[in-house]
Amino acid sequence: MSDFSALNTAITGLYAHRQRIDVIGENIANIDTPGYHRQVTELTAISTQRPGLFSGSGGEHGGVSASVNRRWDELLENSARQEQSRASSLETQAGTLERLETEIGSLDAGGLADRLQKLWDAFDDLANDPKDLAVRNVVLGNAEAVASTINNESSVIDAGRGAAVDQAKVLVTQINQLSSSIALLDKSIVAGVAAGNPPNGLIDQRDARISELASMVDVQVAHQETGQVRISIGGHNLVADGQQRNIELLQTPDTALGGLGYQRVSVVTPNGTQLNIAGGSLHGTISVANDLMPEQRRALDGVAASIVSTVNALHMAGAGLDGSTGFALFDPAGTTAATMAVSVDLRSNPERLAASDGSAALDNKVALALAALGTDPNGPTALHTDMLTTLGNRVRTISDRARTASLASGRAAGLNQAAVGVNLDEELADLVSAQRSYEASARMISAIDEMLDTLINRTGLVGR
Amino acid sequence: MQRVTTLGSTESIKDWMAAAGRQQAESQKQVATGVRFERASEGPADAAAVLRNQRSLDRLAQLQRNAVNAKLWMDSADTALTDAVSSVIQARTLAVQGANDTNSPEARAAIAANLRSVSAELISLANSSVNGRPIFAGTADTSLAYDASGTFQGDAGLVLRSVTTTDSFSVAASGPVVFGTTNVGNPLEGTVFQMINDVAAAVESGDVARTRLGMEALDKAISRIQGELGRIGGLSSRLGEIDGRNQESQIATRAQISEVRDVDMADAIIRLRSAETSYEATLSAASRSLGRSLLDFLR
Repeated sequence: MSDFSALNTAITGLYAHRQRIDVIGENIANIDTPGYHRQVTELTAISTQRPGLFSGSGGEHGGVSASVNRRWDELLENSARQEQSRASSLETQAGTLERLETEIGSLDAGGLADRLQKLWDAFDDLANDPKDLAVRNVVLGNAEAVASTINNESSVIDAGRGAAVDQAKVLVTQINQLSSSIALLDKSIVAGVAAGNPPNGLIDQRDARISELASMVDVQVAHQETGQVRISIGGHNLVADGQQRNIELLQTPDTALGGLGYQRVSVVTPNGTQLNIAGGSLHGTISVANDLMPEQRRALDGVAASIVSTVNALHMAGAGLDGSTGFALFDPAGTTAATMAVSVDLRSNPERLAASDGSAALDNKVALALAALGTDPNGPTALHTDMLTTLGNRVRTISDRARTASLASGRAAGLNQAAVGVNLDEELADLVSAQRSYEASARMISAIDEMLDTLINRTGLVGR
Repeated sequence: MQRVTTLGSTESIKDWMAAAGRQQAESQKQVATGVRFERASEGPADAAAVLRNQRSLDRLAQLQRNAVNAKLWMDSADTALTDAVSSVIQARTLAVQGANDTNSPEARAAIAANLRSVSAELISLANSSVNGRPIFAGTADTSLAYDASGTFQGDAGLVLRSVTTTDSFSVAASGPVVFGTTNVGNPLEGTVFQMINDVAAAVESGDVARTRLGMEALDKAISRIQGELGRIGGLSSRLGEIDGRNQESQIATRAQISEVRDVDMADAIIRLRSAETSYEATLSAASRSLGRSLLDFLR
């Protein structure tokens, strides 16, 4: 054991604690940076047999070495990512449905339920006064209001679906851009890892992008020895070995959706293989476009068809004030929500409105039967009530699931954050300890210096 | 032990504040609108009941309007028929006078003229109308139920008004049911107008026997009109009952809707106060814990 080796030991202490202070500084600086992973200096005692400077035969060389580690927990990261994919898919669906319900789910005046009731009531007024042209015009006006409300609701649904398709397109573009930037970062990271100096800042950037990607689509992430990541969606490698491959959005004709004038939306690889997307806002928009909106359109089409067929069946059997028979009140060609309209035969000819069963000019049995459609348990109003309550239930279920999923996602992110985030108190305590250790190492050097001074300058001067 | 990180605690405080704020906004909305939910999704179980009750309430209101219309018809028919009965009684009294064979020809001519004017008055009563539509013309589109000669212009159709969800009333009988059917061969078996005119002719010619027959026929005519009056009277009182029940159901239905949908104000306001308190508590907790660290204690 030599004096100089002790000096060396003290210097390793200075270096190590200096590095600790640097790292603590970086942690504190990034205390509010989202996605920042805390870095920790790991200290290891050095104890090697090495020839000393003066000892010749060698001696024990001690000291401390510091290495910087980035806190990271693959399990927690994965679960946070998965929960996030699930939550953002459900949140997208819930948001769209809630907006739809605000537009078409009114329980109060002005909604379709109310408009329909006004039509049935108008038929009753017609029964009371079949000859009054003003009453007839009120009936036609209410029929027009029902048709235009349904037309409008249909276009609201179509617009909601169109917006979902557009959003899916934007998401696919963003996913491609994000994955190519991840592939770029990967190249730099590989170089750093190979040189034995992992670029933690770049890795943080990459992880932040991966987490952004996970909110859009459910990605599987595998970390490789080289420091690279492999990111895949449903078996398709989005990023692998520093190479990025695009995904595309495809719209194909579909028999089930064709009746509504829609095309099925799907995500494919460049060579056309269908990808199974199960999470993220991309999944949310695709299920809105392929399932939720078509379901509402079908229900609304059902209500429209029911109004047209039940009203027309009664109306065509009746006779107008002018004795005309066989006219449809609603255009028989328009049996969907989008095309429903009051027939042109009736529009400016209120006297053709049939109140009578044909037995006499002022008979009102047909008008009474039409008014009774409002209370028919299988009639249009009943169907529409079903549609509203089904929509309400659906919105409630999906919103509840979205709320639960986002809580779970928050909890998973919180657990991960708890494991990898920065705690100011911890850093400050570490800082105090590092500072003290640094001071102590410095004190060590001055102690050795004094010892050497004694040895070199005072040897042989004892008693002088 | 789970670490508490600075960013993590900031995030959770933000979450708590958002949750407390949402709760407060929700309570505020309920107090402001007075209803527990505006959309089916906010109360899926109750929304169906509210919708159904709302529809039956609308239906009841319309039935009430129908009943008002039916009442108008029945009242008009009642007035017309009551007057008609007294007119026919007047004709019968005149016929009794005419059946006396001590009358001078002048007196008989005067009685006959009186009888004819009674007949004309009856025709105008039979033409009573509601909103321009003759009550006794059935469902025919005509401005008069009877022309000046007493010939029926209408048809036998029933004028129906639906006053309950299952029932409709015939609010006025067709002319022939009340005033008789024209019989050219035997006027005394025909309409009341024919009878009176026949009696007038018999009185004029001094045919006492025929006048007596006419008196019997008029008795039948009176009881026929009174029969319809009775029917309308019965319907009227039923209509009154139905209307009463209808209004009761409206109140009950409104109460049911209010039961499931309206906010219990006292409860809502208390919940709003407690939401406000918890929001303020969250804010003050946040102000204490944020920005607090070891730094405050190290020297």
